[in-house]
Amino acid sequence: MADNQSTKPPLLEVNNLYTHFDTPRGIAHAVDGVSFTLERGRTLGIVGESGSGKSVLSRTIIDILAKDGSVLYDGEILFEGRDLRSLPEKEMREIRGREIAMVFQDPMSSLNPVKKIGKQITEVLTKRLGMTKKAANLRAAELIDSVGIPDAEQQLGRFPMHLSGGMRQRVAIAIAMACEPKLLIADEPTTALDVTIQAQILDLLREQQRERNMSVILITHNLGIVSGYTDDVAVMYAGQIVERCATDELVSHPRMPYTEALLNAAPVLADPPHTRLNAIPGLPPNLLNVPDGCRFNARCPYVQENCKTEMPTLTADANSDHSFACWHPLQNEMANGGASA
Amino acid sequence: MTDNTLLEVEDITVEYVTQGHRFAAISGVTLDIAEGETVGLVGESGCGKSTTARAIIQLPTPTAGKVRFEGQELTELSHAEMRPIRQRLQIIFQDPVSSLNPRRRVKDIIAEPLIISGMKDKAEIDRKVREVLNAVGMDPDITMDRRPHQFSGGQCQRICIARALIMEPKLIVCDEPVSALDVSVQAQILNLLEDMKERYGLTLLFISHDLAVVKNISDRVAVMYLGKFCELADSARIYEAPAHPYTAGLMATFPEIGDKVTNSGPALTGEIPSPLNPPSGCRFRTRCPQAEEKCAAEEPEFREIEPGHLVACHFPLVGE
Repeated sequence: MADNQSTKPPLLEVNNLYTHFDTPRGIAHAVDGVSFTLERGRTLGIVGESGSGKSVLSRTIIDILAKDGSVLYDGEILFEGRDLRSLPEKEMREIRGREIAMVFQDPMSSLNPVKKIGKQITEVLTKRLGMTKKAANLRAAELIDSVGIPDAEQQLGRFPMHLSGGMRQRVAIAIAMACEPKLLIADEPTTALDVTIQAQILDLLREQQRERNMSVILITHNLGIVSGYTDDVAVMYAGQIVERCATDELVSHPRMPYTEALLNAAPVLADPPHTRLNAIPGLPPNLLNVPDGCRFNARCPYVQENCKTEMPTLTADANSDHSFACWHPLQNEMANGGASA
Repeated sequence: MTDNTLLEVEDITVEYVTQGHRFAAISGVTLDIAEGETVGLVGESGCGKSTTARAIIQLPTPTAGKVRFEGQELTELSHAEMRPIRQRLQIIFQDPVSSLNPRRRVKDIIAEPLIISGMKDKAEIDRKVREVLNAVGMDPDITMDRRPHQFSGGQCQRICIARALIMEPKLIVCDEPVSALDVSVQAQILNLLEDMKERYGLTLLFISHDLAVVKNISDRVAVMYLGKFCELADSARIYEAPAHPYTAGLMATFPEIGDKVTNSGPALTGEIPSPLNPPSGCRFRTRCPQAEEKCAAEEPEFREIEPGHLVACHFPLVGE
């Protein structure tokens, strides 16, 4: 895929990854055979509806799921060529936070409510980077300033409850940036925020990404956000990646019928009031009991016999990086017209 | 106001007391809704959308102002007098799962309003429950004996809509009814609301923070900021020519599929001020890109700049 593969491995390469939950009601196939590559300095959007496995995928990458044996894994996660799944917890701890950082949806519950903001940032700097207290304080003020929080010095003495949701998310980003990570995973970072604040936070993330040449995985259910803020995109459905390509290509020429349906289901500002929406009939499959064949087959308008029995694999189109998992993909030139092959 | 006005909201204020401070969650809200109309209410968290909706259904009664429904003044009614009117004035909420009692069966949940209103005929209750379940696209034979946890969020919202419909209301207040749903399910529920509106002759007050959703379902749209209306116009018009800088800013920051975000930075900087201590003059001036001295000194009047298009701004983006 990448031309520098011979010299340097990609920043992140996920190969045939499975994350299954052993529940009292059976095995939940949360992530089911996912593979993708992320190059340095790129932003990958992972988009899907609730329960599609996007958050479980990110939590598997940084290894923060329950360690009581109820989570079953298979596959490889290669970070700069090292397989994270085979690393002992001690080494993984060095990577988590320092090389791969994460920002979560709810900034209130990802910050410690009884510790001052400043302490939460300097803690990372002194413990992870071995900075002195004095240096850490200066650096914390710099970080706070770089994420656009006014009166940095004064803010360090405040508690999370004193800040608005947008400001808390800025603090969470400052903490994530403290160790200059190579990869930032942002899991629905703006879902809890208002639309004007959402734009501010997404702009901030992109600015940080460009300044630091960081790679970003942006997880969201919002195709509008994916469209504006990512280079490449992977669409997840029922635990699998069903389409992956450059973001512009996905928006203009989706090949997988699910992607097309998702793009068409959202109301559009340009349409007149009372425009009938193209709802996707039915519900996503139950992950405890996934259907045979293509997992979208029960809701797909173009379904044919083989879709119900044979599972399509994610395959790249000839001469392009556009991959999709579909037996009867939409034609490239008439993709938005809704015709099938 | 015209002959077919169903709801008249006149200059209502809702005040709360918190930490010894009295503050107005909404103030000076005036709105007429005609029969068969859908009015959308859009704004960011804390702007007073839900407070407005609740004041209309008298939960609680507004601190000041009038609410007339079908010509009847509601603010002066006692709880007992209000009860029969509530049947015609229903509400559905954002989180469908938590607004259904998890321990009761779907048929009991939907039948409850009928029973409270005094209906005793079991066969008639059963017939009505089946009818509304069919109307919202649920198979009564499969759903009636199940409990809410056996359904998805979208299905629970259908059950909530069925419960609201069973009293044959005139007006349904929809408070963020699709915000907790995935986009594919959101489209199903929005289409369903349009169908139900036609079938039952409903009038809707639809609250959402999602601009595209509000535009899709509404005939007219009101934009709220910090407890006050800042703009009200026909849905198509407000999106084509927003007159208030806040409306324009909301639209500029709304992420749409196919938009490539430019590097000019967000159209709206800063955060929403505290409603405990709102800015002087125009409440939006602290974030407004074109605020002038007058905006701090004088509160702009909510006035008509073209037929049916009202805006509270000294310097509207659309000429008078």
